[in-house]
Amino acid sequence: MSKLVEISNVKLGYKSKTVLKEVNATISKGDFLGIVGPNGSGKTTLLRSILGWIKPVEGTLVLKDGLRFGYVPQRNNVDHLFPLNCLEIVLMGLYAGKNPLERMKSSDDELARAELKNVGLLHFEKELFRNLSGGQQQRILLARALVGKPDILILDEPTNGMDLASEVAVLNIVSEVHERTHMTILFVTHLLHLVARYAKTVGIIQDHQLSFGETEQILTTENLSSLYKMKVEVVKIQNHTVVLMP
Amino acid sequence: MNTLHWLQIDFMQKALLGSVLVSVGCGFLGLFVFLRRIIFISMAISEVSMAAVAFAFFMGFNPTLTSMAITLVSIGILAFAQSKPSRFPPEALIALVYMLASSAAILLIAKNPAGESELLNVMFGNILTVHNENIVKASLASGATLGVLLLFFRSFLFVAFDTEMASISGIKTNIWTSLFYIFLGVMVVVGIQLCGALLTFAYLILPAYSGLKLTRSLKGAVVMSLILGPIATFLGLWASFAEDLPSGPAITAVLGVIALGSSLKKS
Repeated sequence: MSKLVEISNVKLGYKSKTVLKEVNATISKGDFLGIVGPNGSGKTTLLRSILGWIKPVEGTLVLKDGLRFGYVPQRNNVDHLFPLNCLEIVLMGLYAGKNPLERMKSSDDELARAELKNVGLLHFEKELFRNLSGGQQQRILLARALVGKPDILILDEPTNGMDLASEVAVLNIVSEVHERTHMTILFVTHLLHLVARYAKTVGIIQDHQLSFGETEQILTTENLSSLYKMKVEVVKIQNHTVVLMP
Repeated sequence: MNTLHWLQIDFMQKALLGSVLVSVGCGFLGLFVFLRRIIFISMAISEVSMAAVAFAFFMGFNPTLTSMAITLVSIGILAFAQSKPSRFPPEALIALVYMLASSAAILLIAKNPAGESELLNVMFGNILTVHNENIVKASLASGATLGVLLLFFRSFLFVAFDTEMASISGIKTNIWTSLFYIFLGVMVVVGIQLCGALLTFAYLILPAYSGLKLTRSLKGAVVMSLILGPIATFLGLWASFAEDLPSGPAITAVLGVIALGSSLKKS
């Protein structure tokens, strides 16, 4: 598998505050990686460093040449004042590939419509983005992230504030894209059940350090009880890893 | 008497032309001011621009160049401060700048050896004394603003809507943001010298507000932000001539009534 991101002995932080230290990780093509940790543990900081917004204090973070990211932000970071319809939002995912003076073509509209169809919302193409429910908005932002055919899809707490059905709808689409195209997926969340259900590899952040491993090796009763400093039980039900808080 | 008789008077023609030019440039920029949620930054820089003119007169510098330089530096500082996370609301710094600039302008006028009248005209604008030079400046500023913003509308829009995603996509967000603020600073300086701070601020905010309230599409909002300023300017100048009212406040009042009417529309 070709390496897309290689992180070696990286320390991340702001001014004198260390958020993460001794981070060593490799993200390869085809990975489906979930990162979990309590609030404030540094999940988003790690994402931001991979995206190039935060430079490591120490160590090296190397990206494959020409690596293209698709990014799904937290839904509440998107402004609802803009009177943009869903097709216009998805088309934004193609802007970077265009010369700023180049006009959008009808073939671009078709690409955006195809992605709207993938997320099951083609019938909303002319609807204002702000009029959609939270789950639908997140699927539109997912379509925008996917339309440019990125090498890595990054999702930052993609299901915050959503009901269970919307959560599953968003992650099922991501999972289906991964199965179909082998696109590399990296998502951070504080929701353990999502990581347990969808991720193939898990990164867990504890005491400023990141440990990686197969989902079943990392999501254990001992690890999670220690991480959250409370009793957490990990069991298998119908071949699925389930996290319980008895 | 012909109700449009005022259109044949030279100073009214210049007032109309100059104000329409400012209204178009400010109207289009105002849409982005609204969408970027920096309404109060634009209000503060209007005051900074006025204080800078007073400072230039006090020191004997060129008022346009001095005002332009101080305004652009101030806008850069305010924009930078707003983009940084802080325990304090960003409005605190904006309010501080607004109050400092307002008091500095008044103090500098009070101590201006050249007298107040001409300085007040330059600072607060007087539509009815628009010179050809003002019209040339307004044409250049408005033309450049409209031209660049329309030509690169997609980039300006993407950066304003979602800076993070635009940056991840490889778009140089700093360049587009800086360009936007430069046009805003230049347009405010030119607008204030032609028609005063109140009307310039009204041109920035009210057509865009009405456009966003009255339409359901970005194209509609763009069209409204471009045409409402000129329409209000025409009606305001007409009313000011017919009823012997001060022109700037008359135009502002028309824009205000349109905005108030728009606010009744359910979003």
